[in-house]
Amino acid sequence: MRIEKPNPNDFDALLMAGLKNHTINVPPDFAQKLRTRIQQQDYAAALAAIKMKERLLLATMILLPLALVAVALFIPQQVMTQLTVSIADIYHSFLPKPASALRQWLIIVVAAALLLYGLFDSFLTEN
Amino acid sequence: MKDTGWLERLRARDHSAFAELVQRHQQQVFLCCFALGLDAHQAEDVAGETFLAAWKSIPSFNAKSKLSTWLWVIAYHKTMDFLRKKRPASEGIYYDEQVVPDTDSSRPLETASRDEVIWSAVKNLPQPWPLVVILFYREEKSVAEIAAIMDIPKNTVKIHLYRARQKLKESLNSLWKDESKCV
Repeated sequence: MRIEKPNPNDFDALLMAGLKNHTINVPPDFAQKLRTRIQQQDYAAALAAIKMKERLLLATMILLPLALVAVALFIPQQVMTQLTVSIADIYHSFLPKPASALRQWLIIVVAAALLLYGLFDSFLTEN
Repeated sequence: MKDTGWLERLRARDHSAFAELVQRHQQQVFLCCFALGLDAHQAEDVAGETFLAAWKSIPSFNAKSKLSTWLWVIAYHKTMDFLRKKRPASEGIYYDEQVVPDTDSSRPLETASRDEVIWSAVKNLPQPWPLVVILFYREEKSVAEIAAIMDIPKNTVKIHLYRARQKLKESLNSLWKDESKCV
């Protein structure tokens, strides 16, 4: 093949053509390998997210009720009485129940709400 | 319109859109790696890292620049990171010593195409001239775009281009003279 000496004026055009015509060799399975890799990465990330959610849920279902029950048990009697009065004020009706009865109800309501929340969240996670 | 939809699918983590991104731009990313002196095996690793980084940060792509320019930036930085790790700290990444083009190799000139000769001459320029020349002449990027990709001042790009052009003229002219002796 004869290679002609370039005209200095055509040098840029020659350079441009020469570089544009050069083919870059890419491994034929490069795109497929990369696609498999990101699929694996995304799968691993999704799995890690589910595991993290499970741990959080477990912590919520065990630790939070315990903490709330502990708080409810150790609230001073005076505060409980005040709470009773506050609730009564909000609903414009006086509850003539002793503070200990309200404490029991509070524990039951909080535990039931958390249990329902836990069941609902685990249902959502599974689905 | 089609590209906008494709970009949206890419942002929504669609794997087929990612495969399309790789198909469209793989040559460009490999080109960046080769221009900065990586071999085929190293280029495959760095190109893979480039696309994975692009996949990770595609939600933050604001479409102010072209997607190809954005990919050039990632590819350039990934390649430079690879070279920094590969080379000892004392050795600079850029070097300006005289590198003799591989134009007088054992391969007979008669069998080499003009394009291959030009490619070889460009590839054997001192770093980072090959990338500047390729971006300017092959990818038709402006000086401002090249400066943004390589994170260097525009004037430095102009100087690199000027020197690379002079060097290429020298090496290709000597080649043509040699060729005329052969024919």
